Amino acid sequence: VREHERRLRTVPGEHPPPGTGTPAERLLRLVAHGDAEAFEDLYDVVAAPVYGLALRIVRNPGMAEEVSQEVLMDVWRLAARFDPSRGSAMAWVMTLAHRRAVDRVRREESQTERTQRAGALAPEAGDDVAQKVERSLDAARVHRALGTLTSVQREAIDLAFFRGLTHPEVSAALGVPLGTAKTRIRDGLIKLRDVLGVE
Amino acid sequence: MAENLHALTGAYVLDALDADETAAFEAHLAGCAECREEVASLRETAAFLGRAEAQSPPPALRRRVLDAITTTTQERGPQPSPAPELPFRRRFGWRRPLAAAAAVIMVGGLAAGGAVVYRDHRSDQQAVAAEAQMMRIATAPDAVSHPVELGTSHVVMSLAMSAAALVGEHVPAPPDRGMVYQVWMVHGDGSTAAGPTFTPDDGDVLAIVKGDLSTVSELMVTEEPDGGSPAPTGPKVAVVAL
Repeated sequence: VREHERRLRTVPGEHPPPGTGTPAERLLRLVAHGDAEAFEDLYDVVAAPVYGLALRIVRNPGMAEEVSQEVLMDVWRLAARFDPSRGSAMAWVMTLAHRRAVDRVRREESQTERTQRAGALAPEAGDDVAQKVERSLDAARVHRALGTLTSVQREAIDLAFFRGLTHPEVSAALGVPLGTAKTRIRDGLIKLRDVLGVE
Repeated sequence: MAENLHALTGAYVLDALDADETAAFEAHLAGCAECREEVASLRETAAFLGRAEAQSPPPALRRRVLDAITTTTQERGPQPSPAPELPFRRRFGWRRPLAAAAAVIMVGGLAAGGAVVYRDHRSDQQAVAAEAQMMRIATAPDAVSHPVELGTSHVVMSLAMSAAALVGEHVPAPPDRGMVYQVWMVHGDGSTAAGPTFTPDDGDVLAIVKGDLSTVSELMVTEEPDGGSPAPTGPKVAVVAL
């Protein structure tokens, strides 16, 4: 029986050994094997980031809750797709969350509505990004990092990430050429990555 | 072109590309390690931004999600590595120890006809339970083993446990499409009691039945329609005298 247990545990040979990785990664690997208790623990780690991001993007608590439920169900259903060699568990979950939230806001609001709303907000976009600063250490770091960006970089990232605008919409909202919009999104993110020290 | 596509890493990570651009970029990504690396690092960055927005969701969401997963099927992984998908042989560690112990097969049948049916399309939980039963039978003090001419199979049985297991490998699929194998207990007076049906899973079989074996003179395997039969109807595949 011991031999049996040992083999069961070591058969997924390509996977990192148990006990390695961040807590979220360990939990996600267990979830991929159908472990409902691990999912419960993982929920407690990711639910607040998922809900907070969804709420920021869709700006309606009921809708944010629906989006969060979809995302968390995705985490359960698709856990086997998570590949630790391609990023952290948190980034994997937040990628799912962003996509779902953006899809939702694009369905709910026409492009014109989003662009107009974005245009109206654009002048204070920098403050908008940073408005929840002091909530946590992470938020404070993000706030400081955003302060190192140019205003076009900061606004482009705000519009795309938190408003769900596509890059042509970003270029229209900021009144910059298409190529500039996508370049500012990219070099702004690269700058944030370097300032935040993200691996 | 590649250079243009490379400039899309940021917009891609922020889901700001349209469907055509996304498809083109993902095709590029498959062949560009540099872009994959940049996308990965920008994803971590975006996740950092997102995490800074964390806010506790309404408590009711937790219960709703935890309830929902109990009825939600998970997608299978791209690799064969997750345990639930392992082939039978690798899923269990019993093959080697049992083979060494001149293993086994037991077939038990319930005289009442309430045979335990154990098939290859079993859930993992059933498989583990069946394996545990088989191990208990094989390690019973009075366990005896008989070879079965069906692939490389044995029957291991314990009169004391009123149980038997048919275990084998290299078992060919039933010759006729849609048919299954079924085990029968044949009593001294010629009457039969139905046992479980089974089909090989990659050649492996494990069938367990519980019932009084003291009056059983032989075990028989026949081919039967899917679902099994109350009395043998198909051709005899193997017979084991006990």
